[in-house]
Amino acid sequence: MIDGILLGLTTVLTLYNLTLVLVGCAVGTIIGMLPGLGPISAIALMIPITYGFEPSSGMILLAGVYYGAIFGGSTSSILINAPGVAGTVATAFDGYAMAGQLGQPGRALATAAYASFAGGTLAALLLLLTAPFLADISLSFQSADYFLMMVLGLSLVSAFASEGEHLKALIMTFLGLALSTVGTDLTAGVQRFTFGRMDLIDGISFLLLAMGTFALSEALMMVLRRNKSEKAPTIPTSGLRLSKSDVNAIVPTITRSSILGFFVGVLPGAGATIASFLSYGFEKSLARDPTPKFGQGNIKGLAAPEAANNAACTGSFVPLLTLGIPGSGTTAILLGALIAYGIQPGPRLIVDEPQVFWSVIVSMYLGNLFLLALNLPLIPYLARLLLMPRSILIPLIMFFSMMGVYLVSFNTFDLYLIVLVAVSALVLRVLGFPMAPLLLGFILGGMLEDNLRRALTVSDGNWTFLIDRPITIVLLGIIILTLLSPVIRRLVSVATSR
Amino acid sequence: MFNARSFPILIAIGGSILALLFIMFPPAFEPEGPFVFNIELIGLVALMLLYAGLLEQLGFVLATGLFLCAGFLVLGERRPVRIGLVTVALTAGFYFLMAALEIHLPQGAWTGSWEGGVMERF
Repeated sequence: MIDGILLGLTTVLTLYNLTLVLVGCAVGTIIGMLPGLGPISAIALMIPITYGFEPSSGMILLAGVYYGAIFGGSTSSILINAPGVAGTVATAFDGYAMAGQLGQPGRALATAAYASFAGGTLAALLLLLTAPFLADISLSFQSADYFLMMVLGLSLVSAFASEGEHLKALIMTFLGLALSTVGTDLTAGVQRFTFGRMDLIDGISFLLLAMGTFALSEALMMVLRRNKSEKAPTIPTSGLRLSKSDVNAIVPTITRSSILGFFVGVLPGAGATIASFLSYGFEKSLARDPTPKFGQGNIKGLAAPEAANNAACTGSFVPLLTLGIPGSGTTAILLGALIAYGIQPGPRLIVDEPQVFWSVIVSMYLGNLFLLALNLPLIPYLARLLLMPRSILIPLIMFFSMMGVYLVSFNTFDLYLIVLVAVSALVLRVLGFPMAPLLLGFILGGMLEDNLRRALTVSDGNWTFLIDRPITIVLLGIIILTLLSPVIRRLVSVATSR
Repeated sequence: MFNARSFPILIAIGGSILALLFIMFPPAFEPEGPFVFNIELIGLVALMLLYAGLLEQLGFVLATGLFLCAGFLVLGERRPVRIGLVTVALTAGFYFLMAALEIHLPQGAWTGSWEGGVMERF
């Protein structure tokens, strides 16, 4: 492992890659801060730029963008109560109260910055300890295990969906799987669902789908929500500092929340949202007679979700780097980027591409450090971006999404396609269908089919491969339980209410 | 036998079952709203389609300039200085950034240039 860390350090500690970490963090912060644009949009918008890069450099940049976008999202949650993504909703509870009602935006932003730094760094340490170990175990996995593990990942996403959305999440997963079959089938060489068009022979690009369902449809959502009153941000004028008593108050909170957040983040499908709400609830129940109350600007109520949120994002790298199975929309995009760089994700990543593996991990420490150093002094200036009127912002997002797609293929067909995707996504979102499961299903579709085919070939086309080894039986059992969990929960609540 | 047809069929079966469940047990749902279906939305979608159609005909600079101006106008921005400044800065900035990265943007069919645009693919 020491070798690995050294390898990661030597890769990242070049002027070029350090600049990329810095650029990634800065650009990520700016994009993430814009209302409505979260890490998924930020990464999707940056991917076209990284196509010419070395895989490790590309991943270093994107990891920086990821952290930056999360941090930027917290900033807009705190200053204008507009969380860009579900993961920072809990941040807004006490963060916005502290900035608005208590009039301490500087203190709120500083708390968020230190809490996310500590959360990200602690989680990166845990990642360092667990990932190689897990990757080692997963080397012995067979196709059948992979197939079942991916099915489990996809089912967990729906199980962790919010109340009443389980079925919708599953339907979107299937839509994603269906879209992934468009294009040439690589084993048989047959075209599927291309309608005889050359443009679809390579299938739909994941980048197009990600931009269409997130960045572009989010811009259109802003148009639909137009009479929501826009809040003027409280922009801090003073420096961002914390008093000694503040620091003492949040250290234990941050430590607890980071550990909790990391392990929730490792679970596929759970991720940052659940981690932040869990840790918020946990701290709330631990605190006796807090002043100010939770929800009215309590510093622990802000530090807990921030630390957990960042730790969970780091934790979500564990299944991505060790199994090649993404557990969230954001890691699904990163997986797509890895594949685009020509890297085969999976347990062999650490053996075949140690440079990528270790440089991503090392760049996480540096990314968190840079974010802190970069943003503490700059936030008062960057926050002015929040003043950008939507009449300017929306056309800019439209332009960047369309250009991002065009620069990859130089084919105007893709431009028409992304408009179609964005409009369809808009309709689905208005009807309450979540988009992240679609992306996850789309990215996993190809691998799912591949592993199913291999498993079936090994067992002579016999579906008994699902139950012929202990590990597959256990996985199958968990999948069935996961899929039935909403039903079970409903039954239990009906039974107890009687 | 597992062939190119098998996986799509499995998805279709699974999807149909889910759709049936959805019809039989429709989940309670409250829109996040209030959403206002408005003319701006139609205008922006039309604008994007036009941009897709005209990008390679007019070339990057002209098409993007028009697209951004029209987009700002549709969304109710009326200050000419702001519109002009953002449009010029973004179009020129992006053009020169791509030129520096040696990525060729479409010059426009009317310039007779072979760089970028439709011709590049042949």
